[in-house]
Amino acid sequence: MATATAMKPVAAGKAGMGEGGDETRMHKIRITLTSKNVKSLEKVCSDLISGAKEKNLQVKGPVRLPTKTLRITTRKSPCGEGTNTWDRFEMRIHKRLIDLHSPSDVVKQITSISIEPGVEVEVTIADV
Amino acid sequence: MVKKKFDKKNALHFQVVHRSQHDALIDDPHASKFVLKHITNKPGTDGAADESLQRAHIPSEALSSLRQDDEWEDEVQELEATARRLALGGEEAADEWEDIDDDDDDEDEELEGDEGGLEEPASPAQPAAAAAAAVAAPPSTDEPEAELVGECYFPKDGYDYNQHLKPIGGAGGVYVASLEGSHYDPRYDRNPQLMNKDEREVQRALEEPEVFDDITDDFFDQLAHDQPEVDESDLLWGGWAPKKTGRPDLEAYLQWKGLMDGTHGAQDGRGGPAAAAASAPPHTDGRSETGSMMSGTTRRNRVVDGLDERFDKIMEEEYNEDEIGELDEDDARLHEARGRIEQYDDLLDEFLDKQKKEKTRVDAAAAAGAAAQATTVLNTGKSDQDPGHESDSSEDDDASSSLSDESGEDVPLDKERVLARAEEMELQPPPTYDEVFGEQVEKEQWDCETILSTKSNLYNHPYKISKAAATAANPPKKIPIDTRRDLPADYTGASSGSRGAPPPIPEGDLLQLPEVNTTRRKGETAEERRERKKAVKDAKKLVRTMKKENQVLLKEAKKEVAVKKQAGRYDVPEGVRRFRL
Repeated sequence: MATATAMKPVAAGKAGMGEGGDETRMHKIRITLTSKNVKSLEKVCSDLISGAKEKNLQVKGPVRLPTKTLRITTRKSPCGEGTNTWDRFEMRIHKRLIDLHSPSDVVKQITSISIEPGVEVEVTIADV
Repeated sequence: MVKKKFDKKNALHFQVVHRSQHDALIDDPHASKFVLKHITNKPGTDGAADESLQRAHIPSEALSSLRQDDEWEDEVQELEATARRLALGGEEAADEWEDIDDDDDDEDEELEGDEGGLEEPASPAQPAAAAAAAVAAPPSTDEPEAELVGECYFPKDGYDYNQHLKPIGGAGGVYVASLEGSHYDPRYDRNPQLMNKDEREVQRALEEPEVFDDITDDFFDQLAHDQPEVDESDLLWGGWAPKKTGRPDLEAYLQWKGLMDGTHGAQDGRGGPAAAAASAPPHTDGRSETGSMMSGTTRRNRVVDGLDERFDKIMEEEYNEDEIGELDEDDARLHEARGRIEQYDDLLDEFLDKQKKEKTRVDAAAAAGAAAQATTVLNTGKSDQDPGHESDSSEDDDASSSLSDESGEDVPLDKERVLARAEEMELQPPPTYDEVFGEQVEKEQWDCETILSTKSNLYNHPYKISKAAATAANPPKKIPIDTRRDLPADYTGASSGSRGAPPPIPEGDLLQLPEVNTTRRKGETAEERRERKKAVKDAKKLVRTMKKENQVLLKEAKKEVAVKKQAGRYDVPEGVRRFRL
């Protein structure tokens, strides 16, 4: 039963609720992807979105939030002697959001995708 | 149209993490390697509930592996409710603890008989409850370690010191209790109530060894009672017993050694195989009588025996006693070798004669003390050895003929001259090595017969000077000669006294430079000085302009020459129009 309901297209979450009853309860799932490496982050995003589209889920995103840059400027010299040269280090944190409308079955399938190392994935589930 | 915002406050937050090593499905190849970990301290959520959930130490293993049914959310909610209840509840929680402890009463009675005073341990069935109990209800025992409470070892004086501690996981993490019995928990050292029966007994045995007696049972013997006896050597050294039992017998060897020591003289004679067999050490197997060439410690096998037999066979066949020693006079092989030597006997004699003659010759030259004679001898010897010398190259390759020819070409020594020279040299000191041979090294004497050219053909290409062939259309020019002077009639250099005056320059091309006085005379006035300076400047300016013109003319001339050169290079005759591509 559960698998049968999961295979139904979820174009409208409320309609799905009406048809299947409590078993096809729709949830709003927000997947937050955070990483310092843009390439791996975009790869994981594309994998998630392509997987969701294959299952005919309602997908929104990826929403690209502004990149946070952490800059640290330090003196190169370990002591104070010498020309005043400075090192400028920076770390960029990229964040993407993907919203899904799907039953809870889909959530466990998120763990089955290949997540690149360095990409942090957070899942927030809210009722519709 | 109003957009529905994402309700973060009532939402559940999870984080995708790698599956823990303690997870039951870690070895399952079909299970995913990532799991969802519940996060409670998410910004925007209920703070009070979060703190209580933290203190309740909700285990993640309950949420780590998602099951196939759809009610996992309900289970999460139930767990959260239970945790809240256990953390915040007082009497209800205590009642729950009592229900759990009732199962272990029978086991604890035995222990109480030995020591007395041990309290009931908490049940390991509910790790969340046990963890919560450890924090919420500290154990009250009479042991000295019980005076210090909790992980930070606060003193037990009724004051709650934990309230001043900052909760763990301020940056979004959650403190999760460890799995029961899977790894070491430092709280076990201070709280025996958390140990099971076996662990407590072990702990007591370590702390009070005198209470327990030594084990006197023969446990291992009983285990081996039903099994057949095992050879100790096999146990120690493993399955390395030799395949053949015919190992050298130590006793037989010792007997043989005694015999050998007693009959020492018998071993000196080189009798043959029989004597060798008698002197050989004894062997239990039927091996070769002469003894093995292999080391006695080597394991005997068929291959080794075969090698020994082959070696003995070779020795007997090829190296009999008759074969040892010098060749006899009657032996055909000796004659054969001698015959070969006699062929070269003549050659060797000639060579030796030549060497003797050379030696006498050199001695005579040295005795005479004539440096010229020594060099002459050396030169003749050198010319003979020179590869360019035609006489050597034309001779036969046979060594005997060449030797005889060389010996016949000795330089005849002038006896009278030698004697006269010897008398002179007696008065003089003997010549040193450098005097005799040094000049030869310094001087380079060239023989015009052998040296054709000192120049190399790489850069010196001798060619034939050719003169244009005289033809009817181009007859050779005859130079008219003045009979009176015996000089060419055109030649005017001798009469004029110079070698032909250069052609005169036309006056239009001449440029007369102004005469400029560069020296300052005495009593020169300021005006005269100004004029002089001006004249010098004008002259310099004129020279500069001339120089510039000359440079420009030179450039143009060079360009014309270059163009002409290019024209000539491609062998294009003059008058033909050329276009640059």
